[in-house]
Amino acid sequence: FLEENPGTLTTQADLSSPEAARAFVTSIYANLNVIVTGSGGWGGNTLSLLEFMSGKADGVPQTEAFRFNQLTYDSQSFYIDTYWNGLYQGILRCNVALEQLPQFSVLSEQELTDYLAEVRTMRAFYYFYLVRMYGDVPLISEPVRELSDVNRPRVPVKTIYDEIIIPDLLAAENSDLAWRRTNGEVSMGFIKSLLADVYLTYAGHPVMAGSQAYAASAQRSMELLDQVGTVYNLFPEYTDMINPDNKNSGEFIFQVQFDKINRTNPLTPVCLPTFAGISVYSNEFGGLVPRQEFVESFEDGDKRVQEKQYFITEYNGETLGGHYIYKWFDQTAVDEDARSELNFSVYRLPDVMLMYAEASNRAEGSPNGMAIEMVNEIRERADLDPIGSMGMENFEEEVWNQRYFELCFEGKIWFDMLRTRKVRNDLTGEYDNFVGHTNVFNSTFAEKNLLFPIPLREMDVNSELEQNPGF
Amino acid sequence: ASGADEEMEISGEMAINVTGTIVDQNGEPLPGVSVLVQGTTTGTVTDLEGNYSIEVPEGGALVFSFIGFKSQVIQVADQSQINVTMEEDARALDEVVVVGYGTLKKSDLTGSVGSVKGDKLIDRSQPNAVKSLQGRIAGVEVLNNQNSPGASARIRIRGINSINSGVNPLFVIDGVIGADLNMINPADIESVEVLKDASSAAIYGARGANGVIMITTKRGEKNLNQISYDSFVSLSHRAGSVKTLNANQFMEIYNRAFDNAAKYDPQGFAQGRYQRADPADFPDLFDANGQPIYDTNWEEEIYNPAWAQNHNLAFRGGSNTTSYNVSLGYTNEDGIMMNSGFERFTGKIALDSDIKPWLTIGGSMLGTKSSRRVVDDANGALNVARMTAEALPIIPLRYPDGRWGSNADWPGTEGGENPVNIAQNRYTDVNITQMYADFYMNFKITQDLEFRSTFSTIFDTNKSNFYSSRNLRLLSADQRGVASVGMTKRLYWQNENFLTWNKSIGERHRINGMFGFSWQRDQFENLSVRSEGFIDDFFQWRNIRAGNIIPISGINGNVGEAGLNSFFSRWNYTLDDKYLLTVTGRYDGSSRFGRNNKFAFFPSIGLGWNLSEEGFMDGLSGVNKLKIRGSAGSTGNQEIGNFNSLQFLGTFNVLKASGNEIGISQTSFGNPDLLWESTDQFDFGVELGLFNSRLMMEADLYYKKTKNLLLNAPLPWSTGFSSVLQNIGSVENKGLELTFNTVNIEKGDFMWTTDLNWSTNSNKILSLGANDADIFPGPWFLGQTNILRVGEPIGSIWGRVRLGTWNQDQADQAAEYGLLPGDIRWQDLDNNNVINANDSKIIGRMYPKWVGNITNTFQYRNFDFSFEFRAVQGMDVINATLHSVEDRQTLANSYATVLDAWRPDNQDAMVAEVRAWGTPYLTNMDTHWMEDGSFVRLQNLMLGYTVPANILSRYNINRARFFLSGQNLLLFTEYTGYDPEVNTFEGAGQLPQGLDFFPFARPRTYSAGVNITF
Repeated sequence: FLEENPGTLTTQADLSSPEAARAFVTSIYANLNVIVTGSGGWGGNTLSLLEFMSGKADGVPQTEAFRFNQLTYDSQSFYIDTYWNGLYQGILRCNVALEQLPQFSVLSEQELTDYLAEVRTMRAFYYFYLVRMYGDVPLISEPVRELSDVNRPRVPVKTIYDEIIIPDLLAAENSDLAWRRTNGEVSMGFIKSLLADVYLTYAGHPVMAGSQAYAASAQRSMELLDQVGTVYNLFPEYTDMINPDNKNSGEFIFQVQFDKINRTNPLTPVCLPTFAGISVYSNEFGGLVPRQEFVESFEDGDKRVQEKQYFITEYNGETLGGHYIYKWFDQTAVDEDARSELNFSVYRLPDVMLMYAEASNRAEGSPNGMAIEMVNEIRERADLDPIGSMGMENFEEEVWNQRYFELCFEGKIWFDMLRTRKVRNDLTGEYDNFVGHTNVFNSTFAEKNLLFPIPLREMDVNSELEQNPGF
Repeated sequence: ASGADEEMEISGEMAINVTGTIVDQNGEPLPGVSVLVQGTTTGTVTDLEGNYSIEVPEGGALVFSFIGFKSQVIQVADQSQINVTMEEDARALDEVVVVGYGTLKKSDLTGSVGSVKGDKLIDRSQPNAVKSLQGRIAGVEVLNNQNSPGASARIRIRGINSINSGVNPLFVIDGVIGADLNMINPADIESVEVLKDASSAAIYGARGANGVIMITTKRGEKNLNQISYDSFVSLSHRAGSVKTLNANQFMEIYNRAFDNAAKYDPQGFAQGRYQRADPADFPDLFDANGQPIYDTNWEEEIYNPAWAQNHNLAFRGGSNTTSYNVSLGYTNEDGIMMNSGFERFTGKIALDSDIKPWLTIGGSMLGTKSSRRVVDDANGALNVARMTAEALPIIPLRYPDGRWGSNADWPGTEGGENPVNIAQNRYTDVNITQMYADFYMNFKITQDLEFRSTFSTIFDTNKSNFYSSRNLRLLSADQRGVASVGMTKRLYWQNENFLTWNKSIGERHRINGMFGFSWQRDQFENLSVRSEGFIDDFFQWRNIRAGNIIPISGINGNVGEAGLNSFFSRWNYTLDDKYLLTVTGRYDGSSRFGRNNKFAFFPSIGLGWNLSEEGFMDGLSGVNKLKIRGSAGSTGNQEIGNFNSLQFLGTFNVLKASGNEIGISQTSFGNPDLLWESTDQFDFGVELGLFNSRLMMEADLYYKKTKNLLLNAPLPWSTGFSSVLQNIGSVENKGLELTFNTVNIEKGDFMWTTDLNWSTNSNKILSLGANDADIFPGPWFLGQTNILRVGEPIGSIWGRVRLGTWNQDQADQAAEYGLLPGDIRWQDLDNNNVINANDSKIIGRMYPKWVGNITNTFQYRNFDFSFEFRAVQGMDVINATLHSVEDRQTLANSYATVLDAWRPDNQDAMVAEVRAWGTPYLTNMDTHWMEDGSFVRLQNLMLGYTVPANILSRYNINRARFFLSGQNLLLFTEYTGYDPEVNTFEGAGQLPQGLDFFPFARPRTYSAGVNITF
């Protein structure tokens, strides 16, 4: 009489169908949007955290942009807990899938290998964010089931790379996953891009794994670049990126999915000027707004900074009072239905092209022809003159410049600053050392700003944790 | 001390036939009076004319007793006619109270039981039975937080002893466990008994920890057929006003705010971020001189006087063996907020019949159908209540061409719609149908032993229909109209069986024993669908597919069920009517608990001593009643929802390029060791009656400690989960309750009585989780609003200390915080020149230090007059509204308090200097938003006139009374919002109280009514 029969699944449930196996794999994508989700106060978004930190953007007061601009954030500040919580929830789902999938006898060996590759790639992805944001973190590679087992200590960054991120991705490389999967799932293209990024970061701060890692990174970028012309192609126009027909195609490698019905892109209204009345959106947040100093630091003649490329300054004859991000400006949503369906890119081709340029330059000590060509293709699309041969360091700065301009507000720049410990000074155009760099809000980076604090709630709950220095 | 203690001898040889008539003090015949030969079970009852006839052995005596009257013992001697005038026992010395699974004489009780008769409940002209209970019983707090018609009220008994488990008392309606008193028509209620301590509540074991409220509905009386009609109409209006800026003031603040933008964001100002609108560009709103054309007072547009009516018709009576009750009720109440309203039909049928000398059967059905139109939903969003304050005064209700005025008509605002537009184009209709049915069989096995078996069900359906139209910006315009339909269905049944043994052994010992067992099962199902993208506002929820977008997240359904299996027993022993002992125990099994802990036992013991029965008290002639009692015991709390002990694999939707796909993963941590919360409770009570019960006093002191607190204990997020229910933590409540009932003057036709109750409760958290970490239970409102911290009470308000604003001569100090003169000045608790989350502390309390109610009643001839004051003292209210109306100039309209904001010529201000929205500015929970919420309210005032019996008898009317009454006529408080008895976050957790964010204003109500009995 007192037994519970919930009519739904418990961990004791007996599942056997191939669709159920697929559902365990599908679950790993549920937290992919943690990198671009509403968080904090009115107009807040997790993406904004990284852009506020870089000093290239601010937002309305409710986003508490000023805390990050002025470097007064702490372990209770917005966004920091959303990432931590969401990334680890993604890891749980990956761990559950890794535990459950081998029990499905209906899967062929190849299917199982491919499924596991998909899951391990996403687990590496989630951990890659964790180590870059928080440094040493608890390493959890199986679902935690016992209450006595929930408090886990932090494990060094390098161990996480060596025991989870890199092995997961190396295993995934050996799958038969296609170079592009148009449904938005893990593809070989994503695995190679992620591994290129992981090795590039591993080569830099804080692990400093050196030239072998640069070479390993360049190798993966190169493998992907070999698919250019068949699988991947640069869009001719920047505005091709805000054409919903182009989602998951062209230069896009891996994206967070949005559509009109189930989940709309939150960045579209977040990036509109506050209550300017230029759209059908009830809320035009102004939650993520470029700093004028950054916009003005683009090279003269750069197409990307011209009207309606990456930015707008007026719309329908209304002057907006500054530059606003145009990268997620879904025209139909803005004018007609307030339902933005544009995807958010995790990796797109120029990112990998520039990763190749940077990694091969470091691995070989100077830019090779391919590296220069990659930079020039990006410059060409921006109507900029090509560069010629350069020394390693000058070339590297040129690559970084292109990353700042090409990939601005896509959640990339902050991580570049951390791994290079260099910051492009908007006012001088020079690269300052990270520690000691003073941003346009007149705040100066210190050592402690290299890592976010562990969220206070997590510190309170898990007695095994130690806080990052300075928080 | 009672008389006639001498031994009786019954010869049986000689018998006298005694007849007589029994009347009350007014000479009216009393039917149904029990006439008993003393010391025997031989007896009869009086007929409709009050007559009786009985054989009495020689030398015998007769005992005349009737509920509500003093019993009398008369020696027969050689009288053959004995007429008796019964004296009313207004102080109800020996009233019978309903306890779980039976009734007890109040004098035999060892526990703390509060009682209210049904006629008191309908005094309030209030269709909600829970609200009618407010202020009636010490220690029983009704929080009447919501003013929309048909809204429920919260009820808490002796404080709060749980955090994540339920805090509501258990309602038992005619034995049906787990009913909802909010749904019962007060006119159908005979009495309400509240079991407050462990001795009385432990009989409900795992569900008794929050106290038990027993409702007995009206039944027919044998041989007394009557028809009654009770009715009132009432008129309500908004009791208070909160001033907002008028059109000219708004423009003045608007312009000043833009002027100040240059000071607070010079860089943004230089870049042209702050562009004020020019009246010349808005000829619809401004005349040629730039003066506003309109000056709309939105409070007056939205709140209008509203009528209500209430009718109850009842037929009650019966024959010698069978009694019946048929009653019908109708309520129709319009809310003072336009378009809100409530309508309810109730019906009840009850039947009881002695079909055999050894068998009584009976049952009742109670049905309620109600509909409620809610227009003030979406608290927090730009809803009706909020736009009543925030709609701009320069905007008209409608333009001459018929278009709605909207804040969006004035650039740079948040763009909410005007409240009248919202109230007309967004609503939820909540339709509830409830049916209670119960059936019993009562077997009289021997003179002393009875067996009762009951079967009861509750059938409950709730359907909510919602539509929000295509034109409402910030509510449903982005979605092009939103409709939803939600249904829940609940089916509950219980079967209870118990034996009752009532035995007197000699003159000295009385034993009342009860043993029983029961099964209960509760099943629910729900389903809801939401759609968006309507092609026209015509269709609404009635044609939900006229919306062409039905997101998968808009389709929800689930099922659940829970079972309980219990064994229970209670033993009462009374020695010499002086010494009382009660022992109870309940052994409960619940499906909600972990596999390893399905059953638990809840015992209690109570002791009582009727000192006034002792010989040594005879000298104290003024004391006619003195009783002390004490109890200890344990009760449980199992209200944690179903299935919490299990580790679930959940399904959820994951978006792919081709649309949603199903994902499966583990979605709950689960805890197989879950068990009930248990509350150990100690109660000590004194009952005192002085001067022939003209002064009655009852005092109770209690201590409760809840252990194994079910806590949604936070888990490290690194596990992938947020929390798991665990039995860790404990909390205590202690308090004092006082009740006084006095007859101040009783002289001829005049009587003045006073009823007063007073209670205080103090709550303290003793431990929380494994390492006593603070918990913020929410809701979050620009910062945490309250905190759970060991050593502090539940409901501790969390925030900053606002010292005022920075003055011009403090500019250097302000600069250390990156602030300017005119900015808010908070106390820097850790003196580190940064104001952040570490500068918050406990700044107040949500729950009062004490609550008191005093009612004075005057009777003069046929007039009665009463008034009741309610005092709630020592609590704070978070006036969160102030965030939106003091800190957001240019986005919306503001409260008139911003006229007193900081200016160079007004530096001693609490409100920061006005500035265009968008400049860096912090607004957080602080002491300025927290206000003293203590209040004294003239709760109820009533004047009644009972038509004299000699006039009524001409029309065959037994009783007719007309009355006028008023509710909430006066309010004394320093609170600046509409009313300090408020909580607009009822959905956001059960612990917080007094969080006020754009409430539905409280009405003041005037009623006129009639009570007629044929």
